[in-house]
Amino acid sequence: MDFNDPRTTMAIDDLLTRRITRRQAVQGTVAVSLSTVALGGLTVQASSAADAKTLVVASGADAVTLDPQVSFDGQSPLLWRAVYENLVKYEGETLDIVPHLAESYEISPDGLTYTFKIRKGVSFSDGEPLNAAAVKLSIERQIGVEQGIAFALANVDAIEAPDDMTVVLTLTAPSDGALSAFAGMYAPYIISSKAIREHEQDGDWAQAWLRDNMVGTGPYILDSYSQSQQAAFSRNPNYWGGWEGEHFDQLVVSYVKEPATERLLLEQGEVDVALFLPDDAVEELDGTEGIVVTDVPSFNLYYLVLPTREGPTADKTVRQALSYGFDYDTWVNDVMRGKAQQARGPIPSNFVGFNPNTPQYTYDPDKARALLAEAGYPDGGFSINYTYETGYFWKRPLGELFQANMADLGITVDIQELSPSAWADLLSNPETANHAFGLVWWPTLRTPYDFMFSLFATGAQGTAGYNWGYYSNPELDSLLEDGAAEPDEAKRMEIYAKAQDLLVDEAPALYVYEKRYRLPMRDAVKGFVFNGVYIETLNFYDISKTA
Amino acid sequence: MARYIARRLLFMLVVIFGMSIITFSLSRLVPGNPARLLAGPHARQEQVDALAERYHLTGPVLEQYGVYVSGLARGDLGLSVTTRRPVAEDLAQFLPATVELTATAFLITVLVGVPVGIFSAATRGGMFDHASRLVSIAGVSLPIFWLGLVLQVLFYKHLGILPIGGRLGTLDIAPPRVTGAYLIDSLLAGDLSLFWSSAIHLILPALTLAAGSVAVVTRMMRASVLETMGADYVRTARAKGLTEPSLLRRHVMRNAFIPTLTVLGLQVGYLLAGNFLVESVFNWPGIGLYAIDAIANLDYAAIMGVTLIVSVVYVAVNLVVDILYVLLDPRITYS
Repeated sequence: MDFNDPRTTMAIDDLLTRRITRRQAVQGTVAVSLSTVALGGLTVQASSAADAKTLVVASGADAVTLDPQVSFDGQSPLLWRAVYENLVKYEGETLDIVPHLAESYEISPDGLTYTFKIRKGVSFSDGEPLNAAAVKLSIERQIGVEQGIAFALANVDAIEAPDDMTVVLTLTAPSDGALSAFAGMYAPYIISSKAIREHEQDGDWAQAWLRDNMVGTGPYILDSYSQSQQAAFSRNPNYWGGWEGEHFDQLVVSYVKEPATERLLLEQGEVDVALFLPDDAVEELDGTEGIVVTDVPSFNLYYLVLPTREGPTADKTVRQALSYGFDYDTWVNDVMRGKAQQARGPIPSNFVGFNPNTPQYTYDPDKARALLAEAGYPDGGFSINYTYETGYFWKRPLGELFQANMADLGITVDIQELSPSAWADLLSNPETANHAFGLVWWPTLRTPYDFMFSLFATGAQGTAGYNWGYYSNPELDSLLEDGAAEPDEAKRMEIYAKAQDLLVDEAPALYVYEKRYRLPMRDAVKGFVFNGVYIETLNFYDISKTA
Repeated sequence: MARYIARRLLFMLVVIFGMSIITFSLSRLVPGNPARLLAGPHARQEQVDALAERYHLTGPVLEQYGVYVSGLARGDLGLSVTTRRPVAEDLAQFLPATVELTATAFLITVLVGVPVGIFSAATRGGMFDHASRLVSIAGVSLPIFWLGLVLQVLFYKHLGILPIGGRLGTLDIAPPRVTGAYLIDSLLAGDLSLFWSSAIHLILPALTLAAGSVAVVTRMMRASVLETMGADYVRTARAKGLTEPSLLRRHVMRNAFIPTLTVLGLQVGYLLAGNFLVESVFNWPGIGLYAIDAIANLDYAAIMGVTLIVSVVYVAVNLVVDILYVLLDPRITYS
């Protein structure tokens, strides 16, 4: 501003001496009061916590589809479980399978016939009654869409409805996980038969319509859904479970992409539960006022899988050496800050069929060196590739600790980060997969077979499973098949115990750790019960909020 | 003029065509098999193959491109691996949100950048000029992502006067869709509280997005006003006794505005790119957020769709800019 310029001084004089007219005064006052009201309104808006009858959930992962039978992703089941139900379910936090939409069930002694009595008086939210025909159609649909849990129903030979409220399944061969295929997070959820019939298009089993619409028997009804934004549900007034006691009237599930944002929302009380937050954010929230972090055992097991087809790690002795060469205690105590424990073999310690007598490796670099020498690599002298996908918070530190430990043995570990799609592509192709990688597994079926087959069976290599270390051992394969087909429980567990011992001895992977599940939520939320099979979902019907 | 426009439109098609080839090839070059991810861990090879067929992920690259282009002519942009819906449907859902955000940021850029630039030039060397220079440098240097997060912490966490993100409050229901822009739709539906909610949700993201843009436009405007003010004809007009405000309005503005117009056209491109970051920070469900997820999933069709839209918008905006030149500067004619 040039004060020598007469125009400037004139402008300032003008400003200072301007007489304010009455009209301007009134306008000014009105403007001021409006903006105060507005700010007041803003304040109310910004800190809007929902009332006690609405649950607001933030999820850091976007649901993929509302169709509960066509996906194996980890994000969508949260929404499925508000509206859809299964014939049976896991009780509370246990692995006990109890009737749900089925009133009762019976398995024949030879394990080939499953009889379900359907619960009476239940209907879908579109009015269609729940009966044997509806159940049969849903199961046929699951098999027909060839996605989701269809692979576990491969043994199903026939589905019959001898009367209106009974469904009978006949299997070609017994399988110990068969019943749990109907109980888990991925299961043939019972969808309204009317909806399936009416919205069927070109033999797609109504997939196009059910992608964005939901019609089930569950406690809630879908009000609105927009992809990558939010899903809103309200009470199903005709829910067969009734509405005695404390239940939410409304549920809102919002997708929040940024962890920092999701965390702030929880801290400010604008959401009640925050799912899929990274570990470090969860740890920082622990102890914050108004927030409680659940701390319960899960069925997750975290492996460092080794490539077994070629190179030095094709040799069992080398793999055993590596198993002795990894510092489990540092991982558990320092990296995981004590929120984990070292795994004992390929099955989580709280899971059915766990063998408590399976041997466990300890950190013993001298033993590792001795074994390496025995295998012909006295000073190491070779390298291993380790790869992980972007976004998996624990996989990089795992690779780095592995790298440091291996360096002590004279082995070089090259770490490579890839996008999830590239990672999956690299490893599921036997031509390109020669990498060690971190992997977490939790059970889809209630059987140790689930862990051991998916990760180590010959039939699970490449695109057919997760055996991307390409381990192949006919002895293991036959143990697993024998176990699955064995009708006697005690004998079956013995076989599985042998399989675990074998897998520890063979060491196709390092069995690194088990972790507790920690979910942050507002302390007003009550009634959350965690079940490791239903991980990253909520038991909506049973939760409530104190005001 | 009409021929000029026709030629430019034709050229636009060429540009889009070129963009599509480049994006198509680049995305195919990146390793990864989305069909595999889609099918899940328990799928048999036949299922993976069937999915690859369905999403046109198999066959020679040229053939895939051919299928894609012929689909384009029908309005079929392929299927998204991320949402498992037609990409055209996804874009129709997400685009209005981005347009609303970008348009608001653009409006802020023009309504703040231009006057501030002019005033800085008019009061050159003064306090205001110095202050605006500082703010401009800050606006251009501060990373959008960081700025967004800081504004969130300040206005949401500490002051509690603005929401943290999203287009509406958690319990609000979107207005019936007419344009897809909630500001307009809520007014059309006569719902004032919804209008208010969408307006305050728009403030932080639009400001964050506009920050760098405002800075550039301010400096550009200032520079071109100063340059114009030094011209002979301006000196003559002043000598004839014309007052400063009149001078600014009648002689300087129109001529100074032309270079800024070019910059504004380019800024639209910058704003469109900035969307990706702003939408991520503020959870704004537009094509930026959609694209980020698509890229992580190697969702070719979605990536192509977003790229095409952005190219079309950018080219169209610059065509509009060129036409505006003619209106502003009689010396410019197109044959």
